[in-house]
Amino acid sequence: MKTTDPGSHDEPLRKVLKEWRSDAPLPPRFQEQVWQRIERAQTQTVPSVWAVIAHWVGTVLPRPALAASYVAVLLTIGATAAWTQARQETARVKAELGQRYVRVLDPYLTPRQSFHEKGRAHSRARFACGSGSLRLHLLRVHVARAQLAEE
Amino acid sequence: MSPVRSLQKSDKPELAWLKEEFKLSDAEFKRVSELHAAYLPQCRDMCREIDAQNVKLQTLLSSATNMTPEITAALTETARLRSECQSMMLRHFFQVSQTMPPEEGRRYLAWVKEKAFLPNYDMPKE
Repeated sequence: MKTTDPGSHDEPLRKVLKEWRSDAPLPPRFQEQVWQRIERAQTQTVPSVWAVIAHWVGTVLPRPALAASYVAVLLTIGATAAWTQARQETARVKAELGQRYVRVLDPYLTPRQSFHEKGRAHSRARFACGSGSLRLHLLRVHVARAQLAEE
Repeated sequence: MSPVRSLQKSDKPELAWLKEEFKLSDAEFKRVSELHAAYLPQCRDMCREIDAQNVKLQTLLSSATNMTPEITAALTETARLRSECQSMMLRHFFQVSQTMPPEEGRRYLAWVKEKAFLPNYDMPKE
């Protein structure tokens, strides 16, 4: 059975490390600095988004071939739907342009104001003219009054 | 840009559509465009005549309670205008079809007759 102890296969090294003694004094705040370095190293190794996604795909979808098949099927369905929609849109626009061609040439289909709309437009025009005349009349009265007041 | 978008963006989309739909060469398209441009003023004149006649007829009808010789004359004139308009259009369609390759010309005539000369032409669609 495999062991996770890194030193288990290096017996001579372990022996040397056990026997090793150092009388050199540690620098001040040695232990604190070691922990700080460990913390810094841990914070720097935050995994990237892609690594997280890759990890997720690797764990959640343990059969990449199947996952790729799913993606391929979805892409095919999407592309087919887009192509069908584009064809329908093209047919619709072409039919509209055909209708437009006939409308341009046929006086009975040419869009223009109907008789009733014309009547309304005429009434609006008359009203506008009438209100314009009224304004002009009021202006004249105002000017005449001002002249009388000056006199 | 997709072909349809380029049709829509062209100066005269209906003519661009005609060129593509009936596979016209540049020379054929030029001739069709000339015929089209020559036809439009006649069409506008006809529109004005039809509008004026419609106003006249509606005015007569608005106060009428019985058939009068004026109404009969106005109806006759309205029908005459319609006939003249259809003759003018048909003449134009024949001219346009003759500038196309024979097969496309036949297809164009069949299509345009269906659009402009159906038995239920100008009737309200359900």
